[in-house]
Amino acid sequence: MTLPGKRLLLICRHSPYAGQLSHGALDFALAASVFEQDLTLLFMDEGVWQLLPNQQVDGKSIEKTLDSLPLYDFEELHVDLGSLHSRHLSITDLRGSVTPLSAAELPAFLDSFDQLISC
Amino acid sequence: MKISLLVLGSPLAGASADSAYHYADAALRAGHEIPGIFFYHEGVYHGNAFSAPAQDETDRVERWVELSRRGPSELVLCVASALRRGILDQAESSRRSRAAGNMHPAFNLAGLGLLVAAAGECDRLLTFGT
Repeated sequence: MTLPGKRLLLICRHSPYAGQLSHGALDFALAASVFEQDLTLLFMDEGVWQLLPNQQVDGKSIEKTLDSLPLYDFEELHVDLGSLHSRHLSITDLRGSVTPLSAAELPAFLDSFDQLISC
Repeated sequence: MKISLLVLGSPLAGASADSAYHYADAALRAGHEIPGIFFYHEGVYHGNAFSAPAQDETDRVERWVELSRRGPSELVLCVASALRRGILDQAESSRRSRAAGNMHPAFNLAGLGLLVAAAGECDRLLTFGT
């Protein structure tokens, strides 16, 4: 299937284990990759908890899905620095390869995409 | 303008699903196209033909069906979200030996690829619900 080349941004705003949406958002990312869409991931609000390393859970781990993202050509993840700080987290608490975005950088970053999908 | 909708909220939990409907209704009346409305996560309950609201309540399933004819707009339930929540069409119901199919025939079950395609093809993709 050939699709018009739009830049998509998926905003992951839900905590990893408070429901299905965190998994649902990443499922969308994987589907977008299969269809060769240009998709970027941004974690904000409660979604930043998905980026903590060494998650030990019963059932399906978000961390494992995030680990698999390079296989789908997602090399870089983005995180909203304000969401981190308001939760007393810093970039060093997170897994590797996460690019922080300040409140000043965020508007232009969001504006650089054709579609925003918030899950 | 071509607009697609992504509905994440169930019909009765909060106002997001009502907002989605009223937005779609207003957009169609303003002359915009809504090729597809995607129900994901708890939003798949919108396709439950077995819901039977009281007479003085809005029928939130029938309302979408009427809108889809007017669009015309395709009503799509994410197949994984729907099966997990017990919304099955006749084919899935038979395949999984369930007593009946409860998905309204105006809806379709489809994979996430359809949502990805919509995101690429439409001018706007709006998300309703959290």
